[in-house]
Amino acid sequence: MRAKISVFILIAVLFLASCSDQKIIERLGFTRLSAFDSVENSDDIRVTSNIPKADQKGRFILSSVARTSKEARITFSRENNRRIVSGQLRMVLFGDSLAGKGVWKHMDTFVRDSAISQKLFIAVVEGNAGALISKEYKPYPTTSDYLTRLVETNMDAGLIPKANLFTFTRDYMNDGVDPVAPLIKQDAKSVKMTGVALFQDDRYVGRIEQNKSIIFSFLHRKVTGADLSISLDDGEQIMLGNITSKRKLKVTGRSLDQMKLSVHVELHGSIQEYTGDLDLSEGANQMKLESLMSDSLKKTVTELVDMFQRKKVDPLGMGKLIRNRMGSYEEWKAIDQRKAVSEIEVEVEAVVRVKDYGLLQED
Amino acid sequence: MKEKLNYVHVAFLIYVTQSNVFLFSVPRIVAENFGSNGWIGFLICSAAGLFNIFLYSMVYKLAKGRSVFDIIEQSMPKALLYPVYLILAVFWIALGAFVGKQYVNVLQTVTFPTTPSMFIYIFYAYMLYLLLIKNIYVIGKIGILFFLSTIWMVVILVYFLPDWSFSNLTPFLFQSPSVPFSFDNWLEVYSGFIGYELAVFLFPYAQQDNKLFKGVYLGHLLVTAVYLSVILAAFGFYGLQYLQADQFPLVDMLAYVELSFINRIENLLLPFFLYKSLMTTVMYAWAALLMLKRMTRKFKPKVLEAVITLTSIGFASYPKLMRDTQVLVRQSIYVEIMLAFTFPLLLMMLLYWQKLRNGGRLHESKN
Repeated sequence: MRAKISVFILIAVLFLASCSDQKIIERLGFTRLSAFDSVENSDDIRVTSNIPKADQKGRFILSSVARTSKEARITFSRENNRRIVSGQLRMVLFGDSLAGKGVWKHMDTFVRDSAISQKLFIAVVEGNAGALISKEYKPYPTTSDYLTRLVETNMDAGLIPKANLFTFTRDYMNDGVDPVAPLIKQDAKSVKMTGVALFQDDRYVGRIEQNKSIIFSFLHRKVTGADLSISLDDGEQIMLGNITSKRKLKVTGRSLDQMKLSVHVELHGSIQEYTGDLDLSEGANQMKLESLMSDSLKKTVTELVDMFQRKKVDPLGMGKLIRNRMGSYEEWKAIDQRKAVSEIEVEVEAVVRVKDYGLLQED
Repeated sequence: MKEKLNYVHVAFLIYVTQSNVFLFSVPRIVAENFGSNGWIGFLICSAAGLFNIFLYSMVYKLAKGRSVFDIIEQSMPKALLYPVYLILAVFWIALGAFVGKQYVNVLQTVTFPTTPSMFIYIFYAYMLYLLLIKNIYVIGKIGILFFLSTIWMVVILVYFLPDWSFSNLTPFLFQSPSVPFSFDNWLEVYSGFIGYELAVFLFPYAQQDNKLFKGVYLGHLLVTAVYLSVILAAFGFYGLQYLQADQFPLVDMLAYVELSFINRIENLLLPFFLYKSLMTTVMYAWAALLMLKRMTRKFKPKVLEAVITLTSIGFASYPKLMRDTQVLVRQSIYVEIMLAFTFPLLLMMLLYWQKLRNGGRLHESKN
């Protein structure tokens, strides 16, 4: 009998748990997108939230000037008949003028709030972020779905770097590396990925143009299934598809003035489009193309790394590699780390390998 | 015939006693106290734990299966011992209660943020009571169940491999800890191992095959292995500075796992850790129960167990904020570490003295 009572109590606890800390969906407003913009001549920020209606047809847009995002949320709750919660927040966008001043102040709350997913997407908007999320984009049913899918597919394709709350926080907090985020822009009818935003600590200081951002992805992480279109010097076009990329960054030398960074990028892919005259069924011609493509890749990679060094940003974590080669940690702490990263000698090696050349066999 | 604990039971029992809420924060605690490559410092602490267990195994050999109570009471007056028993019992109930409350606090950062924490603790204490009224053999078997209910989560660590970076470990040893280096650092990291010392009360309950300490060693090594894999995963995944800033790295790591059909699984996984934490509370409460039973046999069955449960609720209700609980857990564990090291030395001295008095023969009494 006693055992039965115990079992009953334990099972009751299991089910009655839902009676505590209730969250009734009908009474909640799930913020899906949040945008932060700077306010002219003020330290305040304009916070805009996009809250889709439960039936997915339409959304509420709430906007308010506040000191912090949580303060804005409280204002939103005052004017809305639902309680605004952030558990479904999928993406946070920063207007470029605010991003230029530094974003960490506004991101602290996302890391602190356990309701918010660490895989929250972070992006920088060229122009006004609030306006971007307030607009509806036909024929996509909701702006939030449209934007999150857009980011997801572009990330999977390697067109933009992997950047979420976790990677951003990690690269911001740890020494020897800077965070990155995708850069997007509102068009008349759609939203476009326009490149990669480069940060120095938490300040947006530079960008990589769209045509180079895939090459940046090859440098930044391992990418599989990407497509890369290369124009050779004589105007010929090659499209390399199903690419798997490999990258290796290595620092050699023990003292700072002897240190050398070698950047090795390797792409394996199939030729899916080729407008030139070479007969690809011949191995020698494939090798010729490989070397042409490698040269082109090397050129872009060198340009990118040069730009990082010029702008004193470190999205590739070169600083970490320098740190790990230093004789002691004190030595690393004592040097001007940004200077070390921007002055290290860089050697780029790019290799492109053609796995196959498609189904077309030339005669 | 009374059932006896096999050494395999003991291994799991020691494992579930040692591992508790500490697991959520152990990577941060190691990062804060030791800095880069702190896992090496962690292993040194584990070795110190092994040495302490070795001391207990010496006591076990010398005691020849006698319970510690028999050993002590043979040479010391009860009037002197009983107050000590009482203090120890109360201390252990409190220690268990603080560990349990800490679990409730962590749980509330993710789920049930506004439910009164004592409301949750009362159910926790109810489970404590249900286990306490069973004998140690049943508790041992349940320990295995609890072990199985959480150990599979180690597999989840594989999920972090793609984001795991060797360069985050750095080649430096013990650099840039966030607190200045002192003896406290070692104590705080060592806290994670506490729990093995309760093996000293298992002497009469273990099978008479002298394998009791094989189980204790195994349990301790298992805890070390699980902690170490979590620490290494976190160091390479977070990087030092981020790790030092993250209150509960393991909770956040669980939150990072997203499967295509489900995400935010930390809400599902966190309750499983209840069992680990519960077993720590149960084992200390069980030790307290032994102490109390030694002092008086007047009470009806289950009365003392109920008293312990209520006392536990009382202690748990004292700290209101997470930081209060953290301080109490830390301080009581420091005391416990001190006890864990002095107790076997004391026992060995007693046994040696008894041997001298018996003209070189160990006292051969059966309990």
